[in-house]
Amino acid sequence: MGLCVGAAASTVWAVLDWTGVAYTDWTKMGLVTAGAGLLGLVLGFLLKVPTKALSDSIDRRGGLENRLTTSLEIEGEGHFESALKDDAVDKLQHLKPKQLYPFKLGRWQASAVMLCLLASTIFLLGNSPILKSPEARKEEAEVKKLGQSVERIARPVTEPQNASEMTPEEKRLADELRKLQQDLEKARINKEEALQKTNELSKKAEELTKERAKMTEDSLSKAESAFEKLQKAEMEKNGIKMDPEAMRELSKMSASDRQNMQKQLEQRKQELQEKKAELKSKLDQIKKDLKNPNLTPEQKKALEAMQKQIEEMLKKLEKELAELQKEIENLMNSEKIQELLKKIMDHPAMKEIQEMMAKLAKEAQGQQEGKAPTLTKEDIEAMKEKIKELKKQLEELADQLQDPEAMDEFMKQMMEAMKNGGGMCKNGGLCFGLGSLLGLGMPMPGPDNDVMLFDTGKVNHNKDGKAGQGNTNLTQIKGERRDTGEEAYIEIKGPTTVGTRTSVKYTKVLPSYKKKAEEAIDKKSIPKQHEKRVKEYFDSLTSGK
Amino acid sequence: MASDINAEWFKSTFSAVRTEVQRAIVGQDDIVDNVLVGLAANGHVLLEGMPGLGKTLLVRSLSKALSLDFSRIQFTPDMMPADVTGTNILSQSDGGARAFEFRRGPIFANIVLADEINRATPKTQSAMLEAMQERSVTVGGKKHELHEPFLVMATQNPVEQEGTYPLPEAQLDRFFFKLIVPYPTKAELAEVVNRTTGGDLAEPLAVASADDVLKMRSIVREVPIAQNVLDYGLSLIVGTHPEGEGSTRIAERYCRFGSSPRGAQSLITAGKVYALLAGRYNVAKEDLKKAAKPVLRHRILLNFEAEADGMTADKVIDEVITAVEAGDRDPIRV
Repeated sequence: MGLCVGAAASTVWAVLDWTGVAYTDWTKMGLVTAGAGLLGLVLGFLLKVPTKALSDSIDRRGGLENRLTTSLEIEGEGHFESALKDDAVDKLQHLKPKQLYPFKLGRWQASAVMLCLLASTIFLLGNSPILKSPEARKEEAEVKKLGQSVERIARPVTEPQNASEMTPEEKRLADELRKLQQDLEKARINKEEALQKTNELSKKAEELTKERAKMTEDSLSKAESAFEKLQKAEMEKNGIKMDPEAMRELSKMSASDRQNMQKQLEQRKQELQEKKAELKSKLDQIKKDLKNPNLTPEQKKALEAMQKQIEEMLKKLEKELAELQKEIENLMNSEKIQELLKKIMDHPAMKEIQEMMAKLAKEAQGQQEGKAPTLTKEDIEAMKEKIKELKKQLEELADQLQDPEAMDEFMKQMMEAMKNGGGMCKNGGLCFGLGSLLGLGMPMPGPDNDVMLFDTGKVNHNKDGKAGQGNTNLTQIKGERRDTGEEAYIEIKGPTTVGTRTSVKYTKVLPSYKKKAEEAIDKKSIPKQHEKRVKEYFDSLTSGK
Repeated sequence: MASDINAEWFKSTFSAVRTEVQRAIVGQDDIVDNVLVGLAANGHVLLEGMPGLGKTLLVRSLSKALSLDFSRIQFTPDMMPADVTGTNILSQSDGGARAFEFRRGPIFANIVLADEINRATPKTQSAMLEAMQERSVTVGGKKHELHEPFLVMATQNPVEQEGTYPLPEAQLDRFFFKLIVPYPTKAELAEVVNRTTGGDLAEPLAVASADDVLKMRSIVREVPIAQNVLDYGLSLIVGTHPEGEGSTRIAERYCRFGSSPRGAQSLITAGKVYALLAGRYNVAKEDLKKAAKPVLRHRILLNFEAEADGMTADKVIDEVITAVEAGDRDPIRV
């Protein structure tokens, strides 16, 4: 009976598979049938047949004319008890169990076999191209190919391990993607419908990605505020007064840039001071000349005009010197702050966090490229736990810096940003969460999975192990990267060579480069599949994205 | 084993009596067997058949084989109850003293043949049937016990219904069996003619006694019956009811009334006798099936639709058996 029920369930499943309601395969159908059959077998062994029923059955099958049932029932009563028992035993001895219960295909067994055959036939007909025309087969092959592409894109989203971190909308999207993927794999929808659905889902995914990005931006901006607060607290504590905007700009500069800049400023200061001294001596000479009584009125007037002009020049020079001095002070102050923050960044706990973040970013990038995830959910959970632990250690450090609240706020926002960024990588494939942290000087892997310094935003080492100097930028590109259709992804642009800093702004050279690219497209020197990509790249640069 | 001996004795005694009866009666094996079953089951038998089929000879032969008293009452419309039960008459002793003395009627015999019982008035029938049920008669305020074993074999003619008083259902229910006496086959008829028209008539020998009959009855009561067999028998009974739990479609359609509880008692008792005759110590469903028609055919009252459709009680019983058997399946389906 169990086998029959299992076969019936498989038949229903095969019908649902054919109609596209719920897909299945041989393994699942076989498991259901075998499982139900096994359950029936176990129940058959566990459920005991009542003695009465058994005796009745033997009476009927053995032609015992109710001898066995009666002899079992009258036990201990009646005059015929022993005679009846002997009679029943005598008759029983002439019976053979095999004759009583021969193996035969009963109603249930026959039904089970029939249903198994029916399920197999329905499944085969539903999944075989036999009944389809050559055109339909061709279209089916195309749809299946599309299904493989969707599978690659959908895999990070539909992984069961991500389910716990998904919002209801994301779960719904994942379900729809999974269904579409199955529809395409089984080629149960036509090409037009498949493309339409794929587009719809892409839009939904994009919307979700934007939502997530907004959340990340919010948390990052909070984190940024917290970081600024931390900086301000440190500055106040150390008696440094500085404009936050200037501070932010300076903090982005490298140590060598700062040194160069300081040198230039000092040189300029010296020049201005020399000029000032020269003008002063000139002014003194004019003042002395003016005391000469032999001067004609015209000469005196000319000297006075010259004196006035030099005084004005001196005033301007002094003002310029004062501004220069302020700039030098700012530069020096920024170094002090960097030193203070370096205390935090040099802390072993922070370095450990950096490594974990790099791993997460690498994982996200890998998933973007369609690679199988290397980190399990347990790994990520372990990392989160570790980060919590490290946060405590940093809090202790913050106590030493006498501003635990600011540090706490910073860490809280950083964790939030990381969480949102992780989600982005899974869903939309956009790593804003991790990437945007770079604006705060957080670590991010470069092209060689290298780690940047927190305070500089630069790759610390290149392939040859030399110190990096170029900035690393994140660029969101939307276009065709491979032959998998349009998609949005992040390109991480690290310095290709370690060299000196360019003095030409990219906005100046961009038009000529863009023109060259357009010419290359026109001349067909760029492969056709990459034309759109190149065009979009330059568009994104010109639009300031 | 005592029980073994009893069963064997029952079977051999029964066979011996049957053999003796069959010395006088040619054919009619089922009728002979069923009359003996009625005797062993302590039940009265109603025989229905055309005149001249050997009913009286059967009863006489039976009484001879069993060494029992035999009396025959030919019922007529002018017959009074006292003609059956007996009456008090005024008698005078040698000393001249007068007193009422009870003079026994023909019912005071072990085996009574009530010939054409349907010709008697209801009053006389009632007296007869009351005596059959109570196994005693009360005359002049005094109760007189009938002799045991007591067996009434009533006959009725299915034709010549004019001037008859058909037995009411309540009275019919008192009969254990109703047997239909068929015509003899050609071979049997030839044998009858040969026996009765030449040579000496074979007379049955006494092979059993009244005590033996009583002993047989007590043995019958000891035969056990399993619960499922009893259920089967009761299903047959309720299957004849036109309504209520367990009624069958055929009964719903053709029956006005079904079998009474007395019918159930008779069915089981008859089954027990059949079991012993089959050499078994238990009642089987086959025994009940065999007993169904003689036990139930006079207990089922058919409606007009049945008459219109040509249905008989026997056909209804066959249908009821079929219906009950359909619901009685092997509990293990492998």
